[in-house]
Amino acid sequence: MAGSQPARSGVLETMEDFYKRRQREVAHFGEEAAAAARDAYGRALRAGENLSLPTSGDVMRYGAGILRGTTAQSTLPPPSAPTSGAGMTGGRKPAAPAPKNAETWLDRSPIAKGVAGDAVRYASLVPGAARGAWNTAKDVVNGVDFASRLFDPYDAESSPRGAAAWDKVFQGANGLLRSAGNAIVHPQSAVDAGRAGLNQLNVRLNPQAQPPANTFAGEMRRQAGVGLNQGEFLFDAGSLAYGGAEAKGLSALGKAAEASGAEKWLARGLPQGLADYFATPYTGGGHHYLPQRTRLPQVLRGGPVPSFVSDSPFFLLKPEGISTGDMYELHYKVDPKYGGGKIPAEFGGGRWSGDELGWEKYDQLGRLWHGAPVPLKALAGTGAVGAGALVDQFGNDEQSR
Amino acid sequence: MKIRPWAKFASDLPDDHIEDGPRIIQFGGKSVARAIADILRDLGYKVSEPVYADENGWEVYVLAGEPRRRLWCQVTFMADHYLMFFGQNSWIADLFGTRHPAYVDALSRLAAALADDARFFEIRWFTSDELYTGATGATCPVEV
Repeated sequence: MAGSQPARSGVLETMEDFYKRRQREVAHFGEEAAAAARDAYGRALRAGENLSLPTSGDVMRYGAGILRGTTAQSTLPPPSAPTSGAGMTGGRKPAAPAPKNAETWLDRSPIAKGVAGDAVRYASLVPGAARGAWNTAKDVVNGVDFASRLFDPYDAESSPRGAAAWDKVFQGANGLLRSAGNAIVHPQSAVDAGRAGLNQLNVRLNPQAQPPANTFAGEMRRQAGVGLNQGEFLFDAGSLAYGGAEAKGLSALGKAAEASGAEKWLARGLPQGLADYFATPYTGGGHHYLPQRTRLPQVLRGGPVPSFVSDSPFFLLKPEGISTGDMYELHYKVDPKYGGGKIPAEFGGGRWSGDELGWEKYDQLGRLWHGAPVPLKALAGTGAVGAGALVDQFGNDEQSR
Repeated sequence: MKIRPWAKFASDLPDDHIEDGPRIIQFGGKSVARAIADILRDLGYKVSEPVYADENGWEVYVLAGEPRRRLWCQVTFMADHYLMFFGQNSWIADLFGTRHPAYVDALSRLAAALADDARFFEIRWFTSDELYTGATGATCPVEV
C-alpha cells in the first residue's frame, strides 16, 4: 500500500500500520466509553434517576460524552429521559412522553403501578414463551434448509461468491478463532464483553434493572415487555436443556405434527380404535406435580398437601384443550409410575402401554421441567431472574469496593 | 440385592372400572387395592383406605417399621391384568436409589401373602426396565 503517516512517536509508519493503530485506538476508546456509560448507569440506578440508553449506540455516545467531558453524570436529566412520559417497553424502546396535565392518581401511585405491573408481567410470560417457540421453530426450519445445502453438491455453484453453505461454516469458524485470539491478547475486553452481555440480559429480563415509568400506562408497557422477554427466555432455556427431541420433531416429524385427530396417531402406527380414543378430548384429572402421597413436614403438622395447593394451576399439569393421547403421552413421560391403561369398550377395548408404544420416559431433570405446569415454570423463572439480578448486584458491589 | 417393585397379576375381584361411551368415569382397581390394603393391615402395618388417582388407578399409603417408614402401593387396571407398584414414599430414596430394610421386609412379606391368596394368580414381579419388554419376570420381588 502506498503512502505513509507520521506516527505519534515521530517515526513514519505505513498506511496499513496507521489504519491498524487507529482501529486499535477506536476499539480501546469504545471499550472505555462503554465502561464509563455502565458506571454512569449504575450510579443513576442507585440515585433513583431515570437514564434511558435503549441501544448500544446510545450507550457508546453517552460514554463518549463522559470521556470527553461533555456529558455530566448522574445528577443531570438523561438525554432523552421520559421525565413526564412513559418508560421503556421491555427495556428497549423509549415511549412517547405524555402531557403533564394528563397525569392521574394511577400515574402517581407506585403501589398501583407495582401490583398491576406484576400482573401484566406474569400475563406476558405465556405469549413470550410462544414467541420463543415460534423463533425456535423458524430456527429449526432454517437449520434443516442449511443442513440440506451443506450436502448439496451444486450449492457452491448456484450460490453467490462467499454465500455458499460451506463458506458460511468457514466464516463462522474464522470469526470464532478471531474472538478467541482477541480474548487471549486482550483478556479484559473479553471480561468486559461478558459483563456487557450480562447487563444486557439483566435489562431485558429484570424488571428492577430499570426504574419504573412515570405513567401508569408506560409502566404497564414496560412490564409487558419484560414479561415477554422472560417468557421467551424461559422457553429458550428449557428447550436448550430438554427440547432437543421436540425441536427435531418440528422438522423430522413435521408431517405427523401437522396431522390432527386420529390421523396423527395413525401416522405413528397405532391401530384405528386406539387412535380414535387418543384423539378424544382429555377429561381426566391430570398429572399432580406434587403427588397425592406427598406429606407435609412435621413443622407444618404433617398430613397430605391441601387439595387447593396440589390441584392449583401451579401444581396440576393439565394443559387446556389437550387430547387424551397427548395427555397420556405427556403423563407417561413425566411420571415414572404411570405406564398405561384400559381402552374403553367403545374403541374396541383392550389395553395400551407406553412401553409397547415405544414412548420413552424423561430423566429426573426432564421430569422436573416438563412435569411442571406453565405457571410454576413462570414462578421459578422469575426466581431465577431475581437470582440473576442478585448475582449482578454482587458483581457491581465487588467492582465498587 | 435386586428389587422388582412392579407386579403383574390377574384377579377374580370386581374391576370397578366404569365407562360411559367414550369416556372413562372411574378407572378400575379399587377392589384389588382394598384387598391389598387388608393384606398389609393383617401383616401389622398401618394402612390407609384406597385413594383414587385417576388414570394412575388407586393408591394406598403404608406406615412400616420403627421408626415409621412411609411406603405406598399403586394399582392400575390394565384390562386383562392388574399392574401394581409397591415402593417407598421418599423422594430422597428415589433420588439415591436406597432401600430401607423396612421396605424390603414389607415387600417380601406382601409378595408371600399375595402368593398364598387364592384371589390373586399369575403373579410375576418386574423391574421398571423389564415391564412390557417380553421379560417373564420373577416369582419373588427381592433377589439377594
